[in-house]
Amino acid sequence: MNVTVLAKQIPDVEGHLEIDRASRVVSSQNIIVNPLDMSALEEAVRIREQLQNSSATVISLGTVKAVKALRDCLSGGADEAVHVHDPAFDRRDSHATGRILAKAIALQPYDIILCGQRSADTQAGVTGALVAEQLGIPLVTDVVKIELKPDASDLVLTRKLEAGKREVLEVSAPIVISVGSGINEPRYPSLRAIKDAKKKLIKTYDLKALGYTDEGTDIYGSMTRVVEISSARPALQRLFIPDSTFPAATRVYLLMGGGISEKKTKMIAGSPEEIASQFVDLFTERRII
Amino acid sequence: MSNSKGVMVITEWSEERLRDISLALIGEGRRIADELKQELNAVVIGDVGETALAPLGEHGVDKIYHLDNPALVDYSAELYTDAISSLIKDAEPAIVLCGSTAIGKDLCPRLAARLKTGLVSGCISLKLDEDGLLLQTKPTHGNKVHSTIVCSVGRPQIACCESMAFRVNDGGGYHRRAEILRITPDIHHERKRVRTTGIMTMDPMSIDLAEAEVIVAGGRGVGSAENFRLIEDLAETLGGCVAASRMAVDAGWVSSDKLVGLTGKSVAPRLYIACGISGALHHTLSMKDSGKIIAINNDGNAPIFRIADIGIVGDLKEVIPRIIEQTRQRKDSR
Repeated sequence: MNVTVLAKQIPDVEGHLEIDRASRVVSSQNIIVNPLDMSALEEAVRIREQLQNSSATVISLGTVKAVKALRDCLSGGADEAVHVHDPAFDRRDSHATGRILAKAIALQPYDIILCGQRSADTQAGVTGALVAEQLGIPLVTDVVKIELKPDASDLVLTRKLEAGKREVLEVSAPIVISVGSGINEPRYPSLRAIKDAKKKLIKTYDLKALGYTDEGTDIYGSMTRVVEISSARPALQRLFIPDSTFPAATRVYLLMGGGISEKKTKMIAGSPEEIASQFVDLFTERRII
Repeated sequence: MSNSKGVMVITEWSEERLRDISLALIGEGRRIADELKQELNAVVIGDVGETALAPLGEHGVDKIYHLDNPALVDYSAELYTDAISSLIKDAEPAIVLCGSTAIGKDLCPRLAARLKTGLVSGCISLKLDEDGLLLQTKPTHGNKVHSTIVCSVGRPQIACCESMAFRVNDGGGYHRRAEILRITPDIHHERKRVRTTGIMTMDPMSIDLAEAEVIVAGGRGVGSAENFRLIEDLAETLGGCVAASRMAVDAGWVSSDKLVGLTGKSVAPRLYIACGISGALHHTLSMKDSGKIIAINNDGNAPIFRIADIGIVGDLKEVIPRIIEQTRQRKDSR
């Protein structure tokens, strides 16, 4: 069973971000592997551990900086790593990278292709669909549990629906699976794994290796373009002084949070029975019940 | 697709009733179509009767494409992608809008891939630029950045839109009759390569608060572990989840995984009912984005009332049992 994992290197969105409105670039000092891709890798390694004759290959499209992401994945248990890299691929959107990755995947044997449901930076969520469409194989999204059936030719997948519901499906390889949050906690790599990772070879594929010629660049061209970016944090409207009983770190957090806008509250009065009756009307109107 | 014109909304229905996000997007779609001086069309899939479809005209829909085939009654990724992409190729809309629901999030990327066009998912606002190109704004980078994106190359421009960002306005009053076009698409059953074996409903007590649509939360005002049962009962009656403020967790009335707050979880359900919660910032910062916030507190000056949509100054021990009773009566009478 060949398990292929798609990993994307992104700025660490949990930490401080530099938002450059002029160049429309968001960056961070800290570069990491997209957390859901690490979860995808963890699933790949678990499948590899359960089955004989299986391997986990990680593929990442990116500049030379992506090599670190690939080493992190090798430390996390991947057997092989592929770096898809060409200046022509720089600054492409997810639609372009999805198609390029599909070509890279097809250069080696594949059975199960795993990726994160979305990346924490662009939050686009299209890669799985593009790869599946390009390769002509099925896709299952937002998967939170992967189980191998005893004969290992089929998988049982559990995926998220709305309002806490789960859908259970049976699928067979070849298949693309995008994993959702909550599927697992990726393992911490051992020192040994990190050492071994340094020795493993990383294959590189460029434009030519993937079979692209100079003509027909629209095949891997971007579909979308970012025209503007801005900070999502609300601007501070008035001086806001947080409660001094909070620790300093929390007070800073609250200050940075910009306070909360006040809205027009509708006050309901009346006897408990009358109030309850208005509640039930509201629930019905909002289709809660 | 250089001749693409018009706005198409892919609608979702729940028991013959149009889902709120679909209705909201019809309103939004009408606004955009008016600006472009083009048509607004709606796609309806599956078993929806004529009487349910008729009102769509009043909300400004010009044409309804009704994809009517028994195989499409339940969502199937492959069959829906085949049928809808085929329709889009024939109808050539400039813009396609869809709600960011479980189905929408799964379907839209597949449509974009099939039609070789661009998708912007998680949109929170839509505008047109001076050339009629759709400006789609969405949160990125851990929701810390708002990025405005255009689909520069492909058509249609597909926008998958966040439910919370698009609300149903009073709308209506268009007095038009939507033309209903019934389409029976070719279904290739062998295309369905995955098999659904079951749908499970997770116990509301066990699902993550981040997934809950309805949350009933209790704070210090609840008063005791025994009174906290009221919070649990109300949550159960509404099919929602239980949550709590720091005070209630510290008092031992509820487990710490139910904590909503700076050191707990951040939530944004459709409905948040805050009972006996004063509304200190460390709690409210973590739930202020909820769709509708109702607060019950016997202190009229409690800060929670500043962020609540509906406020009740009263004794929750009096009000909640009656809400539970009347809700049960209303449900039983159906």
